Amino acid sequence: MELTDETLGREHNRPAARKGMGAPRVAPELTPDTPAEERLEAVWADPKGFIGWFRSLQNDALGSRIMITAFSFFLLAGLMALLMRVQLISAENTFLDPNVYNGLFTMHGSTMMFLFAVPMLEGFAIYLLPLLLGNREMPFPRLGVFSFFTFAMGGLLFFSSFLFSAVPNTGWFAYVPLSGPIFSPGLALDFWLLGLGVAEIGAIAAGVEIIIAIMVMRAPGMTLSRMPLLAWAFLVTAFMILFAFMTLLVGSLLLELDRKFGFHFFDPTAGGSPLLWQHLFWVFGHPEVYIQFLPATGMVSMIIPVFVRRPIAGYPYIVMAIVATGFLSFALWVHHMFSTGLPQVALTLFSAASIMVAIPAGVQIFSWLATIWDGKPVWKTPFLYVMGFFFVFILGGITGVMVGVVPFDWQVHDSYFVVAHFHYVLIGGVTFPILAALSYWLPKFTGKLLDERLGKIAFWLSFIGINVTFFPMHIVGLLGMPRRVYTYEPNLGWDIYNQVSTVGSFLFAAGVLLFVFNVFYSVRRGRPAGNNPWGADSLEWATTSPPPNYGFAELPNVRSRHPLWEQKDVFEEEGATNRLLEGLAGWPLTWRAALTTSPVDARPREVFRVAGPSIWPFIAAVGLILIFAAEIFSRRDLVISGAVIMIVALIGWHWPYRVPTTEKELQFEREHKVLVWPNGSPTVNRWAMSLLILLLAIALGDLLFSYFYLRLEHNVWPPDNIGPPNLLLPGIATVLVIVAAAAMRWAHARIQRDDMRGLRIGAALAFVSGAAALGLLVYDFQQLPFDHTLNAYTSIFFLLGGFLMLLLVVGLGQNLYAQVVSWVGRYSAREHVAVDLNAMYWVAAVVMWLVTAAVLYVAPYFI
Amino acid sequence: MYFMLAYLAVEVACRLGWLQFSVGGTNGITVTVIGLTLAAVGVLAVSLLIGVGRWRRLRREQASKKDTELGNTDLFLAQVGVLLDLIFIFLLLATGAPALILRPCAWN
Repeated sequence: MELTDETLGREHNRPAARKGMGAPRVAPELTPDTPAEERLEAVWADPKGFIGWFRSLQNDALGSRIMITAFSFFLLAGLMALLMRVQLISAENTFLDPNVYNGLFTMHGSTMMFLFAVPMLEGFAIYLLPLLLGNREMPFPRLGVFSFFTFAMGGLLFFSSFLFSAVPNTGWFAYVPLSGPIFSPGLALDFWLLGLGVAEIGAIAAGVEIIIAIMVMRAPGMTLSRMPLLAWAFLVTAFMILFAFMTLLVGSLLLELDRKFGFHFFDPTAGGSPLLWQHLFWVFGHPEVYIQFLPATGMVSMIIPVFVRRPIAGYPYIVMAIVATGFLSFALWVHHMFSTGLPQVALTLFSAASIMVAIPAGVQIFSWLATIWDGKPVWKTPFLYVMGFFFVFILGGITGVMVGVVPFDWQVHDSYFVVAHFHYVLIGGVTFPILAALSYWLPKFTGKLLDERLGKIAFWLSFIGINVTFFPMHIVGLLGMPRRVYTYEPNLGWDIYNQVSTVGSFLFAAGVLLFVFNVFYSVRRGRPAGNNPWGADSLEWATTSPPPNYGFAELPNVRSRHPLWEQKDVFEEEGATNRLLEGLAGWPLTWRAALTTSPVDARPREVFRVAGPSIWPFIAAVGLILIFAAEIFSRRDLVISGAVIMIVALIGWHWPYRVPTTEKELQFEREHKVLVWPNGSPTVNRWAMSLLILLLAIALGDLLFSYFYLRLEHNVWPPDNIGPPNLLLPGIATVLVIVAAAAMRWAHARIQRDDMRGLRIGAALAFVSGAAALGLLVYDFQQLPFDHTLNAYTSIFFLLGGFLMLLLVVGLGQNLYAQVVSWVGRYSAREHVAVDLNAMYWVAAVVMWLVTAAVLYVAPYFI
Repeated sequence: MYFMLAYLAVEVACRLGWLQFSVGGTNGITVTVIGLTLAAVGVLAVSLLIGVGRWRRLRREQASKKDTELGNTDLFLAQVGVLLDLIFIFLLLATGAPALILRPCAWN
């Protein structure tokens, strides 16, 4: 069917849409005769009322909240940008004083990077992924709630710095020594480090959810080769989030330890290195750009085919480009440090890599161009934003290649040319695709079409506005205007460019405000969207707009990359899989059932219970915020209170309310050859544990990088005649840790044979052994002839020692939980996931322990 | 890993004066960087050869209609793997080659 103004809003794929029919959103009275869809709605509906809001966890509600919060931060950051542009409209303007200006550019940059772009894209992921992948929920809805509240409250904590007149003012990168204890002694930098630190934890939590959802919760038949490109982009991005945000958290920890606890990681007078902060920050900071850009390209890859009415060209090449960009983005961080003084060989390594990243970006662009070239474009608002993305992002990409060239970078470093470059990249490459995506998916989210006329006017205002704002910055940058100056002298030839930029910024603001108005207006008065107003090809359009709480009553069965275009009916396939899906549509109707599938070929594996509404994730988030907020003011009593709240909340969150497996469930297993887990999926839990281990390994990698980087600052290691560390007690502790891991593995093997006594003995032995190792380590540190405040070596020594202790504390906590549950008698050969996870963890802990101990205790004898 | 190791090797050599050996008139830093580059390229080349072999086998199977749904997915993954190997081999050669002509510890 042609997509015209007349056909817009009509369902382009009625047969496919019918089985996802939404039930009323009000929970009905349930009787045995109540239709299955109404009973599903009752099971999946969020609780009502004020307290219910804090307990609710449906992916659509949660995704909407994250997006609305992130967009609100975007508007706040935009307001700050306007204030800065007013200040710069004329030379020697006194509209803002320098300190306020410094605070504004810091808050603007930090908000856009941490509180808008990444959360916005994660909000999209949480809302869309279950629909896009053809499932009912995200794997850990409670983790999603925790992620939302940590993000939102972290953002509020960050902005509360205004209330204390302690606004961070060192730029969004917080370079030391400016951000260190000597030059920023007040609270401002603590608001930056700790406020954003909480939000970063929220981002990581969402990243974990996204990975697991994509890997094991796709609809049957949605093999990796049929997965929507947006899902590919989210998958790669989520892994990048784990690597990048964990690195920033480690960097932030080091800086906070320097600022408040007398450590010396970045203090050159005690053997520390300010450049170490730059390394840690940019190992996060550069991939951060791609963390925003890749999902945006995924959105573009979803939108273009729909509006040119043909499948995407070069699907495998785009997947390759997404994966390659993900890897490459971690090889470019030093290009932000070209002017810090590096050997030539190091410069060329990173210069070449920076230029090369244009290759995968180019592959995507040419694939999109080929798709458009071969199609028949329909110039609706989402497509206009995509075209705006092309124009603006490509200009930003070209100047990106320019600044990848070392001599050119030296010339324009810290000038307005760089400001122009990254705004072209981030507005073109991220904001425009987000606006395109909102225009495209809002009909699905709200059930209403956006007003096309208003949408087009908003686009043109934005498009003209950003070019008028940022293009002159290239020129004024080449003329020598530096970044981050609150004013400039007259007669330098900069005035006219700044005046034009300021006018442009208000045009852009008008475009954004008109977009917001259009959303409100259309939600109230827009035309009904129908299930599939654009005639799109992906699964989210196969259910109602807005979708019901359960997403799909009967899950789709995928046989194509473009199921709504190429399958006659995504719900009506033949075979065993379809019998399973039909069975799942009618059973179970008393608990929240979702499906896991195999990671590569998406074969059905498990039906499992998804966690239901709970207040505990919110309370855990409150505890975490209290820890971070109290630390800003050095109120350690409140820090401890926050920790207690969090521990209690985590216990409540994970309390094992076991439901015995019923005969009906076993019958379903036998009939459909899938496992049924009414207490949660072992597969999903194993993935979660693997990702936790990965996060710890990333943190360890960052600490080891820091260790060796600090080593570079010294000719003798350990410095200050400290001498290499004693090996005896750490050696005994190492043996004990290995024994603990072996005992836990043995305990796991016993419970697999239904030997509860063996489990209890093994777990207890593991606990005793691990606790003894922890005690020995603590004792060894107490006997050291130095403390962490002596120099950079002792600082990193204590921190790595703390990491070893953390490994043990986490393992012992899990072990204790498993032991308690074993004594309550709730494990069996069939269900013992906590034991399984604990055994996994201890093996990983041994590996990390050995690496860390080798560096900490043995390496000083050799390097 | 390659970038991290190559970067740290250069920094170690230039800041602490390590790797001051010479192989056939080529200094130790250049040898180390080129060695790391070749090692990384070697690993990718092996992966490429395996990937190409697998890709061709899967294509033959598909042509002879032995393919399954999983076969299509494997073919897709093999293709993406080969493309990734190619792009990274090109990248590594382009990033490592300048070490042959630059004075390694000349600072900017």
